[in-house]
Formats: sequence, C-alpha cells, structure tokens
Amino acid sequence: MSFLTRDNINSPQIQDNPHDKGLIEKELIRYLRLAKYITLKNTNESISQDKLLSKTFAILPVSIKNKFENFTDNKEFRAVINENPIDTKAYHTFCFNILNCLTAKLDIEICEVNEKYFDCTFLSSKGNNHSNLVKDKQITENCAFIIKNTSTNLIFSFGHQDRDILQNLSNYIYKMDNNNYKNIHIIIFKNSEELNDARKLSKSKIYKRCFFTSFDNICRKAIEIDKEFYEKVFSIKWEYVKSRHNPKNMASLHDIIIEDNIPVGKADSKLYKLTFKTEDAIDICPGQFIMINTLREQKERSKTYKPNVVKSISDIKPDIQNDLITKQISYLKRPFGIYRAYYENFSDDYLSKLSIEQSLAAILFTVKPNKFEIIYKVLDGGVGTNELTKVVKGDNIQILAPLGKIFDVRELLKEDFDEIHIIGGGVGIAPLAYIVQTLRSLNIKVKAFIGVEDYNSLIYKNIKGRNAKIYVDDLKLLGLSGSDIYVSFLCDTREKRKIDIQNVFTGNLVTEPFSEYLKKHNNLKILTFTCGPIPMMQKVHDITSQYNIKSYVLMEKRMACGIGVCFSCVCKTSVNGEDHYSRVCIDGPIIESKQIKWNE
Amino acid sequence: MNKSLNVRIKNLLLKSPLLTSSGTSGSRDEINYLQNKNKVLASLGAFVTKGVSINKSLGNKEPRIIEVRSGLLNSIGLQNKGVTKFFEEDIPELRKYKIPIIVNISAGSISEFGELADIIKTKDKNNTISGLEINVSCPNIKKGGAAFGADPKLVEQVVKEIKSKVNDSLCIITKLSPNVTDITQIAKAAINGGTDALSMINTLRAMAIDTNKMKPWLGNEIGGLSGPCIKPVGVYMVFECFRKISECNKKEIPIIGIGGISNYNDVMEYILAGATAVGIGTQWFINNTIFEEIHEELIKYLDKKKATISSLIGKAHGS
Repeated sequence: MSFLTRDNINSPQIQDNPHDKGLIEKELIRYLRLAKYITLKNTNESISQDKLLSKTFAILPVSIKNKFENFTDNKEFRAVINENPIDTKAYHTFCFNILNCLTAKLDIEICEVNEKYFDCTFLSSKGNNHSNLVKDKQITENCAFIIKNTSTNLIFSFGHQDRDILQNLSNYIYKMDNNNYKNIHIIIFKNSEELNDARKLSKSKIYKRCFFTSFDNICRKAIEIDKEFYEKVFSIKWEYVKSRHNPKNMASLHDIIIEDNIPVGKADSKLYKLTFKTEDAIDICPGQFIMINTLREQKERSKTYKPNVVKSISDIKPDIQNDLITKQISYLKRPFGIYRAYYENFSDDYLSKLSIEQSLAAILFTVKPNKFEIIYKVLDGGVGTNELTKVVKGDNIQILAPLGKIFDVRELLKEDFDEIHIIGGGVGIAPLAYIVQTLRSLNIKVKAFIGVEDYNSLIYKNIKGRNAKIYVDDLKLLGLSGSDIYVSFLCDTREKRKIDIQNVFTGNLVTEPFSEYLKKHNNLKILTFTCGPIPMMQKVHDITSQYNIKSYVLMEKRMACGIGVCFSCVCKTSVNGEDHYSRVCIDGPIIESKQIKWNE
Repeated sequence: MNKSLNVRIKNLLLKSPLLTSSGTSGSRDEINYLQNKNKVLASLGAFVTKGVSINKSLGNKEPRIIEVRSGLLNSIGLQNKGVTKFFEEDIPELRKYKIPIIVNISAGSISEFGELADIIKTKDKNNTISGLEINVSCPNIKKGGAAFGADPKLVEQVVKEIKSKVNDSLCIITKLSPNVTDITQIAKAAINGGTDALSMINTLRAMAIDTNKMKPWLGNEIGGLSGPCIKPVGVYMVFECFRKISECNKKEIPIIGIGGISNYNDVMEYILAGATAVGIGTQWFINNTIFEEIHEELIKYLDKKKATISSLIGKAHGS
C-alpha cells in the first residue's frame, strides 16, 4: 500500500485557481493552525511568532510556499497567530489533514461539521460550489445541502462537541442516507477510552450508525503517512503513537437470548444455524470463539414462559436429575466459532454497499456487535450439540466469551496482500465467514473457496420462510461477488445451475479449484485462512508451502476450560525447532500452518 | 474481611478455605483472561499450580479428555515447561496474584524428588512460594506417580527426602491417590515422613471406550476421573483419614479435601468430614464464577449456623 505524502494532498481547488486569494489564504491559515497546534502540543511552552512562522513555512506544500510571505501581515492570519489558548480548530485541522490524506484518492466529499461553524473551506476534491452553506445555520440544514448535492460524503465531527448536536446530526445522516452507505459519519474521540465508550451498545441510540476513531489512531496514521515529516519537523514523541493498537477483550459469562435455531441443508447432515442476541455487545475478534452452556431446563413453554439459566448440575430440577441416571447430559461447555455478527443500525448487507478506502478503514471502528450466528453440526452421539438443537426462540442460555488468541486483522493491512483467500470445508466454512466479515470491513479483497457435499447441503428456509443458500448468500451479503466465490460439490449434482455464481465445480475437493487458481495467478501476494477436516487443512498447507504462501488454519479440538488452564485441547506444534503441545484455546484457534506437526 | 472463613494449615493462614486444585487453574497468568479475575483471587485462600517436574514434559497424546456422565476423564500427562523455566517465567507472574502460592511437584523416583527439592530451594531465594504439594498420585504418568502413591514405604521416604532439603517454613502437603486399598495407610506413612498436611483425592483411574471406533477414547487409553461423580468417594476418604489421624493424636495434620466440589454444600460436606480447606478443579471449567459464588454462599451458611469453618472441621464425627 502506498501512502500519500503531504504534497499530494494539496487542494485541487488551489491547483485549478492558483490566483484565488481567498482560497490560498484559507489554506495558509489551515497550515498555520496545524503548525501551532502540533508545536504547542509538544513543547507546552509559549512560542515566538517568528518561530511559529518558520514552522508553518516548513510544512507548507511546495505549490503555495511562494504565497506565504504576502500573507503574514494579513489581518485574519495575525489573529490566528495570537489566538490563545490553542483553538480547537487547530486540533480539528490536524485531524482533517490526516483524513484528507486517507481519502485523497477517492471521489468523495469530506467536510467537518461543527456547532460553531460549518467549515467547507476544506472542500473539496470535486470543486463544488458550496457558497450556499452558511455559518451559524442549523447544521442539519447545511448537511442536507451537502447530501443532496453530491453522491458520496464523508462527514466528520468530534466527540467533545455538544452531544445533542452530534445526536441530531447522526440521526439526520442516518435517515437521509436510507441504508445506501453513501454518507459516512465519522466521530473523532480524544482517546481510546472515549472511543471504547462510544462503541457500547447503549450509545448506538445516540450515535446512529456512526464510525468512530480516536486522536491516537489519527496520530498513528500520521506517522505512517509521513514519518519524517511528523517525527522530525515537529519532533513528535507522543508515546501512544508508537504503542500498538491492542484490543483488550477479557472473557466473561454472558446471558444470551435465542432468536432462531433452524436446520440447514439436508436432514441427514444435522446442521443447524443458531442466532442469538446478547445483552451487552461483545467484541469478538475473528478467529476467537465462544463456549456455550448447552444445558438448559426443559419444560413446557407458555407465552409467559421465563426460562431459567442453568449454571451447574446442582441447579437442575429433580425430573432432569432423573435423566442423569439414564441419559447422559452435558457437563462441560462446548466451543463454537462465530459465523456472523450483526451491528445495531447496520443493515445485514452493509458491507456489500459500503466501501471505505483501506487506509481509512484501518482506523475506523463501529459499535460492538450484539447479535451473532453460529453454525453447528450435531455429532453422532454428541451430547452437547444434541442438547443445543432443543433450544428455541426466547430461551436464555449462558456463554463464556470471547475466548481465544486475538488475531489482529488490522495488522494484515501493513503487509500489502493482493488477496486473502479462505478455504473452507463443510461446517468449517462458518468461522471463516466471520473472518471475511472483518476483512471486508477493512475493504480487503477476498476470494472464498468452499466445499460442501452437494447443492442440497446449502439449502434452508430462512427466517422469512424463503429458500436460502447457507454460506453463499451470506458471503454475498458481506460484499463478495459471484466471481469471488468458488464452490465445490463433492458429489456430482445436477442442480449446479441453480446456484447463480460463476465458479461451480462438481465431483472434486475444495483444494482443487484453489490449487488451479494459484497456478493461474502465481504473481499475486496471497494469504490464506483454512478450516475444515484435518486432511483438507493439511492439503492446503502442502499447496501453500509449494507456492510459499503464508497460511493460517483454524484448529478445533476437544476442549474443557477454554481459557488455557486444563491443557486438554492441544495440538502438536514446532516453533523454532522445538516441539510442544500448543493449547488451541489460547495459542489459537488461528495457528500458522507451518507450525503444526501434521503427521503426529 | 470475613474472619469466619479463615483457616490455618501449619504456619499458613488462609483467608478462605477455597483453593484451586492442581492442574485446573494453570500455572501462570491464565486467569488474566477472565473479566472476574479479581473476584476469583479475592475468594481464594491459596493458588495451587499445575504440576511441575525437573525437565520439560510434552504431555500425553490427544485426545486428552472425554466427558462422561457427571464427570470428566482426563489424561493430560503433566505437560509442563520444567521447574527451572517455571521459576524464571511463571512464578514472577503468579506473585502478582498476591495470594499464597503452593507449587505442585511431580517426579519419577525418590532421588528425582530430592533433586527437584534442591532446585526449588536455590530458585526460591525470596521465599515467594508458601508450600509444596507432593504429587505421589497422578494416574497419568507411566513411571512413578501412582506407583509411589500405592506404596506406604515409598511415600514416607519421598516426604522425608523433600522435608530434609527444603526450608522448614515451607508447608509440605502430600497429595494422595484414591487408587489404593486403604488410603489411611498411605496417609499414616506421609505423616510419619513428616508431611505438614494431606490433600485428597486425586483423580480415580478410569476408562471410556468409543463404541464406533471400538477403541478407548483417550490417546493414553486410561485416564483420571473427576467431577461430581467422585465427590462421595472423596468425602468418605477424608472422613476415614480424619478419624485415623485423630486416633493417632495427630490433630495438627490438616486435610485439604478435593474431589467433585460443585457448590457450597459440597464444601461443607468435606469440612464436616474433616477437611480444613478444599480444592476446586473440574467445576471451575464449567462455571468461571464458582469461587466467588461459593465464597458468598459459605458466608451466608456460616452466618445462619453462627459458626466458623474452623469450628466445623470434622463435626460429622462422634456422637
């Protein structure tokens, strides 16, 4: 990924009208504020005017450097120099500068919305005339003008602004946009704590479908964009610039409410899709998993039925304790990977409509998800999965989440992969779909290779009673096109044409089209995630090592605790030539395939 | 601070009779993954680590666990990084828990136990650890373990060997196996060897067979059974040992009751049978809030009975 440097962000308006005094003046003031802000932020001392002017000059784009001298005596310019304390506008300018860098390539309008002023001097990549915008006018009125006049808008505001105004604004944009995702509202918070707070479920009522970021994320991006500029010119030494983005999500018990639990595919495949809502939103990273307490009280349900939460065997009513003697009931919680996550106010298909440049997406966050889906297969004689088929809408059961090592997908952006592939076999496709969801939210190109038995193993009646195709339909909702999905039916199937995607293969394993694809595209930089039966994952490992492709697998093992204390769910690995048993629950489930000792 | 839960094991004053059971709560910072970590630590009297041996041990082949009716069958095989690395990497992390640390140790021969004790003495210069739990009873290692646990003479010698090597202040606990004809004989031998306390029971040797593959479920074929199904066995063995100890007038040897504890009622059964403290293991996998829940329930129970844990130890005995 190539980042733009400050010279490339030069306003196109100025390039078009090099003699427009008003525009150049505003541009110069913007840089003056930026210089003042960053300098004062670092020194915390008062700074002489001369020094400030030389700093400003140092950061000016070449194209307007020669205009600088004439403006230093300008009234408004002098007023900015004497502003005291640092105007928040300067902080705003700094953030705008970075956002502008990140979106310069896009055909997008970017503007800041503020209760005091509606600053459209920053506009615009299209050179639209925004003279209709009026200071001190209702911000929604101005906003309406922007939204009506252009196709794609990036509107940003600041978390420290008046909350009512932010709420009005976000509600307004939400309503105007009508689920088209053409108008993106970004709120910038001062630090990660405020950012985390905004991502809580309760805040989704205030900030409707907003994207959030924080000043430390912006700074980190600034260093990425132009290290020399921001580090040397302003000797930036903010500790948070260097500290890595470190999502902290500790496991705890959550009550969940079942929304749906329906069979998927053919009757004999015993595959189910379970949809549930959580009371608090949970930040589950891709590759992480949850453990479900599949045991629950079985009794007649009426409309007023209030399900009890069963925490341990001692809680079970006597009639069920009788079952203990004759029938085995589950004792341990069962681990499951997440198939899909849903976000309040975001439509199910938002990723197929929304497209945010990768570098910008890398610093954006949404509200945390509060509705999830898992896909599970009932094993032959499987106690826990059998119990899970009995839960129905309205039931309340417990999960422990989130579990597993955090695999920071945002870090993948730094490695500049052309494509990321997922290769999934059967129910193993489920946790990969959640990885796809995250990759798509970062606008990474994804190809999905999936293998199932036959066409009928994909079909199910969805919540609206319509025929739907599991995996395939959802991958499309996540923004994959028909040509990004490769389906392999193990059995020959005549229904092949019913599936409206280009790449359908019959009578072969999922690894074959994947291997063919690599043969044809050996110049691409690819990374893979694989999940499915062990022989399949091993085959993918063989293929990827042949092409020298970085490959991760999602391991599944019999598990007891889920937090790394019992050492049950191990998988033999070799790291730096030393063998050991890695714990899938905390060293995985995502493990680099070359670490795994496949034949032991 | 509720004093009704305070108990004493030798010189070790525990603020709660609830301990982790070896092998079920990790050996390092695994609890940090849990949001309720602080509540867990506040409910614990001491932290008992997963077993360590002299050298790194890979552990057994998988599958290592299989769920059975009301219980869990495991054969982990003492996977650990070796005592030296354990003291260098894990102990500094465990210190942050700020509760007494009891290190579970395992070896294949008397001399190996001696060597282990020597290493611990040199490594633990700052007296970070409060006690050692001698594992003479793990059913999942081929050499040693269970063989030691079944032979009173060997148990006595092992305890003597370790006692002679480590600091006097260190509380020595011997963990007994239920896989013996008469557990009181082994308990007596450990006491003769000089143990400061006993813990019982370790898992029961057991097996489960996959009727589809027609082979044992576990990679190691045999395993150790834990969970609610073994609790009556544990309570009985604590009861018997407590009686024998009383008969020998060795009342200063406390027992840590372990096996199938799932709620406060189970804890009280062990206490009344003669345990001074209890270890909770398998239930902790099922419910990560078990320690704080039991802690709270115990206080309520003791309030209602107007008693303290110490006053109820062995109450089920006598007329």
